[in-house]
Amino acid sequence: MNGQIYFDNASTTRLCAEALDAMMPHLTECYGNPSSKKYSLGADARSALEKARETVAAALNAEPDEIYFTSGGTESNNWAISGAAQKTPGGAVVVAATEHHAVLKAAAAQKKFGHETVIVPVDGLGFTDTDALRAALEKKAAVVSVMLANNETGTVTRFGPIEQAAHERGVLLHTDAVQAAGHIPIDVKKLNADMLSISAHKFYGPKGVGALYIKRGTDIGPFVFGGSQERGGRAGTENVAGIAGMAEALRTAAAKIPEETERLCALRDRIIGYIKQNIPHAYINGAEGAFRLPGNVNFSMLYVEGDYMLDLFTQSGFCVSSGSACTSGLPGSSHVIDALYAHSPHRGTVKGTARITLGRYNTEREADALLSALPEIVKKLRDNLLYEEFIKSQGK
Amino acid sequence: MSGYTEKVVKNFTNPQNMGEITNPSGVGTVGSKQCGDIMRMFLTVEGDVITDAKFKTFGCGAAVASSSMATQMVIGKTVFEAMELTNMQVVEALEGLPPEKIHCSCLAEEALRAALWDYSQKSGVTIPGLSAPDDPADM
Repeated sequence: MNGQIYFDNASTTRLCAEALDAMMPHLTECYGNPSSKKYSLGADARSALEKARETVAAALNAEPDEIYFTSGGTESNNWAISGAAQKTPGGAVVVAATEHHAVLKAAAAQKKFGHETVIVPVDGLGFTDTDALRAALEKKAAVVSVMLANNETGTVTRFGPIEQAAHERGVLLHTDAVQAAGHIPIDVKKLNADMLSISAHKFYGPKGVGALYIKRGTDIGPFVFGGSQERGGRAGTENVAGIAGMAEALRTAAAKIPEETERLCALRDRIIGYIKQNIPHAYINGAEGAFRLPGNVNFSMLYVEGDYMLDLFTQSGFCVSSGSACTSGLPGSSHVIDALYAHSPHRGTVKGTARITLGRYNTEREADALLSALPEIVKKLRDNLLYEEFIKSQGK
Repeated sequence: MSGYTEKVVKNFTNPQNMGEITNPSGVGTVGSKQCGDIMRMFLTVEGDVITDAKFKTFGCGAAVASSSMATQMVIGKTVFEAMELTNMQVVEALEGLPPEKIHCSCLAEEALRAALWDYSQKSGVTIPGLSAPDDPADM
């Protein structure tokens, strides 16, 4: 759309040229089914599939036979949780409070099979409370799931203590790396998670395709029943074009991490610095520096209406996303932001939250445009009944 | 682009009659349980004609636009005519609102009626069909 600046790269990203090029043959002449290996049309599709598996594995420092293709991050998360839960009857599903709904709701869905959900709180920056995790694991657990980086606040998990806590108790560990893959380095051998989810469209690949890494020797149940694709774990003819695109997108993104981290962190920190210095009663949500995803800015303004914030950003030509609206419990309120404010003096205070996520195709000029537009947006947002009353009450 | 008509966008990026009236003939505040929005409307009434109307809100773009439009629509009307204003007339004047934002126009209608009620209490003028608004403190 003309005149629109896209700052919502945590929602989805633009397909990169490398991915499109890798996909095109499989959308046109190379249409064979990878399971039809006897003729070259099928065998070629099979070899493209296995080449993609090697590429994805290499980007994560995994082995090719540890990569299982899925329809995306949501499916990978659902598979990991349900597949692990069914192997430990009566074991709890232990998740962090700030997990994506694809984990939270998959966990909740295991209740009917006898698996209680235990939600582990986070601190004010979004880091999982490791003591609470250890306490939760004193009871029988089937799986622990803690995301590698948060989709709203960009907080990057300190994974070591979580890995220790889970494995000390012999509990399977899954991590939702949907926001992390292609943006920060991932080495599954160092992380030592048993399962890890990724989604192509978050790293400039196509929508509708993802992968679940399952460490060799990890015993989880199958997710989709039918043919023997993905070693019987996930039946259904493979999305060859999508998978080829994902592999190329991940290879490209992983290679660009060093330069992109430097460039995006500089833009991110300029915006964060501006907010801190110039917007009164505004708060940055999430951790800072190396513990924040390079492109993520997330801030709340007290006594601002969340929807209006989004309306004004949109009308000023910026595609951003709302972390939450209003106070806890109201429609649009975010469980992630609520979890971060659980012990804050601003807990329960009406606030509007905006998430600005920069990506590969954003320029310095676009960040400048945002900084020029912010004063007018803030002025309009603050011209409201509640903020006036708050300022008056401060004066007393 | 955003599900809003140009009229709506105009009315929230450049709202008319935003502010307050000191010593108003009537003032009313209402709130929405649905979304936490608050709207306050001020009226100046001379004779029985509304000569000025202003508003303050805490709400989304649709709430700001609805209040902006409602105040424009009642200036110059008698209090009895203003009583007839409905949220759907505000929606029409805005050339439509997304379905999930219709309640914002209801809030504008309720704020206007709350201000009219306050006026009628202060002036002793009975406005047929008007009843006491809900206390926003209950919401």
